[in-house]
Amino acid sequence: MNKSLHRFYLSCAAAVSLLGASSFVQAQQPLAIADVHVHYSHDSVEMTPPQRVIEIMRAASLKFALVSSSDDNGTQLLSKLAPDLIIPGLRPYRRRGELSTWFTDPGALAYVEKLLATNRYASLGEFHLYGDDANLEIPQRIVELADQYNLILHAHSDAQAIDNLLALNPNVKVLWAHAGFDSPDEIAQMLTKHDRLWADLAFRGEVGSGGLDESWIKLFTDFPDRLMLGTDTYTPERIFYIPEQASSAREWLKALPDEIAERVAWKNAHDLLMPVWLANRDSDGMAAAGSPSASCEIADNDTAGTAVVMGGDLSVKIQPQSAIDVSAAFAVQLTLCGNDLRDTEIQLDATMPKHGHGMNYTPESTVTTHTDSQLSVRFDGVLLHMPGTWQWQVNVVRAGVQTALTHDFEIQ
Amino acid sequence: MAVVVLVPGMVTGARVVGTTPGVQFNEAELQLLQTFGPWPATPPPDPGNRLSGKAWAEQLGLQLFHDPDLSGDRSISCATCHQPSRGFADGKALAEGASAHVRNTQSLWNAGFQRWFGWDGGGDSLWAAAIRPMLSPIEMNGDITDIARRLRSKKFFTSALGDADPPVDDASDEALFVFAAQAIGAYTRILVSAETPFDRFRRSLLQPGSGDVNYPLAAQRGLKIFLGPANCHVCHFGANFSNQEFHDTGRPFFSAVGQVDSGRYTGIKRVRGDRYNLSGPYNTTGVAAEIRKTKSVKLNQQNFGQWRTPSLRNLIHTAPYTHDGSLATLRDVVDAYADINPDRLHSNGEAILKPLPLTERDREDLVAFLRSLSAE
Repeated sequence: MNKSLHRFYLSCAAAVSLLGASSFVQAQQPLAIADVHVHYSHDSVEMTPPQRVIEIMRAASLKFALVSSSDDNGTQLLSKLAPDLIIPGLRPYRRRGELSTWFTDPGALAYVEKLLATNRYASLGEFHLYGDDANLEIPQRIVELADQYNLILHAHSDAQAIDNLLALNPNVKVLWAHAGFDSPDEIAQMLTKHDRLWADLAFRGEVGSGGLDESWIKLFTDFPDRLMLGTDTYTPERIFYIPEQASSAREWLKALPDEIAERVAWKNAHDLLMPVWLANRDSDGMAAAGSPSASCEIADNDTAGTAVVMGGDLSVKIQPQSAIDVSAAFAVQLTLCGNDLRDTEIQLDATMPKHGHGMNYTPESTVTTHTDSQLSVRFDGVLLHMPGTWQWQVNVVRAGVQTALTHDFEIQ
Repeated sequence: MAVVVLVPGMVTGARVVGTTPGVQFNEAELQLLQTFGPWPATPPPDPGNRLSGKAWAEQLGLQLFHDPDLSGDRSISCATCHQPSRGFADGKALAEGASAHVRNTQSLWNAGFQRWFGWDGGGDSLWAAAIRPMLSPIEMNGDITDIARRLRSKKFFTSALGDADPPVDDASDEALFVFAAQAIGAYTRILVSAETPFDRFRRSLLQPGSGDVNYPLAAQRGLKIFLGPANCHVCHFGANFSNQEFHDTGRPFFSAVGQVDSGRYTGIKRVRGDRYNLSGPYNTTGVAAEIRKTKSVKLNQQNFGQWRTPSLRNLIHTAPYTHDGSLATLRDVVDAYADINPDRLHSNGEAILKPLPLTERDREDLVAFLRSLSAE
């Protein structure tokens, strides 16, 4: 073998080796995730040692976690054990179970003030607060403290309470827990309205369940800098869900462009929380920084339970194909009428708004008619497993524009 | 709203009237009661199981159910834990198979009415649910090759196969093993419990002139609470008192310090990955509607810590209760629901679960009602 040929072989071998190493490294490093909704409360401390919690977080390849606990001891234990991993937040709860009383309880406020005087945090929350309760004396003081100590408010609230909190002080920023359990449209409205609002998607099982639907993709695309991930370890057992949450998110984030996926996965949390935390961690305790439609033909043979729902130029007929019995599978025919329906998709779901859950199954869909003015789809395997008030949710995506239509009904 | 009043020796409209002091049931409650029967009922066929409904297969399944040759060391049969004399359970808090289990043995009474099988619903048919314990290292710890070899040596097994079936000698080990499981599935499907005092009382209310009006007053009051303020019927629905789905009722699910048993969350993953599920090669009927549930079930974080809604029939024979056997008595069960800790439930979770202001008598009445759901 001559020298130059030998060098060629060597360089090829090196390149292959490097490529192999690169692939190997990539395979070993899943997308980093920041989990901004972790609680490690007193009962959780009793059940799972802090070392084990840190192991779980590291096994989940978390970049960092925002932890707030009832009481604060759990947060401090984790923070001391893994300062590189834990960003501490302060909950106004001394024990679990104070979520509906804290905002009228002077003891809760005294507890917060005492801890703020001694420990360092990045956020105040997660607390539960709804409507005009945000204007009560204690929540007002909490907002003042957030400004004074340069803390992000982490609020499990409805939109009205978020409006109120942000109106109380022009400097505070709010991380909206669970994005208020609102729909993507409603979240978008709030994020448009408030530039000091971010949202976590903890305990939002519908996000990415069975793939990421268009409405969520649109939300992430329109607000690439404002949304982040969380688990919500509201019971001790949920600590063990942290890796599942992270791996599930890694799957559905694949539906987003890499840059946005990375932002949602950890960068948004980093950009919101890390400057605050680094400044507060090294501070002396006080603020470290400023802060009409076409109509559907109603056939004479409509079955019981048939409903027609209108929205703009769209109307949709929801037609169960048999009697609806609790916990028995049945089929539903949807007939959508409107203009320019060629580039249109339609989805059917059902939820129990008062119960906080929906169906346990994704019905199987078959398009039966698709013209410019009509889209008919049959959904098999619809199963409503409890008696009570259900809500049909029909999601129409026409040329990329989403319309949500709903209809409440009762089954016994 | 019309009200039916059970008063000794009287007739109200077309309703039969009791001989004991009675409880009033309004039309809405009577309508609900319609859904709790008739009983006994006939279970649907075991999905994906061509042996289901065949008498010879049920008989074969009965023999196999009691056969310890289906376990690794030939010491454990299905009936070791699912003891007929104990309501097809074992009376223990946690099952003990080849080694210690982290779950309570579920009764097999009325299992044929279920949609999913096991506390986590990890099986989508009775026969798949029979396979899992046979192969589980902590249950029967069996091995397909060993079991098939033992099955081949049994004359009854050979004679059970019909003319249309391949000779036992030609079947693969796995096919023979699944065949045995499907026979067990055919047998467990027919374990339907008998009529109960509640069923007779229900009939007396809904079909005047029939049934039993001498239903204990405490049980009548308990039924009223069950249908009313306690809202039990929302999940414990229908003739088998189960909506066949999964819920988080706030019960702890640590299986040891530092370990959780995540229930339905694991069950969905398990059923999706199960070679013996209805989408797999051993479904011997291929009915599309039966397969749909397996293909369409959603995995959601709310499944973490959910458990199958058990039937309430024959409870007096199947203590202790819940997925980990942590509630020893029916009174403990009632207390656990009445005194449920709302902190265990997410504020946006199942909204009907909340502490119930039940008096001591209310609780005992509910227990009396639950006891009346058992065949004597």
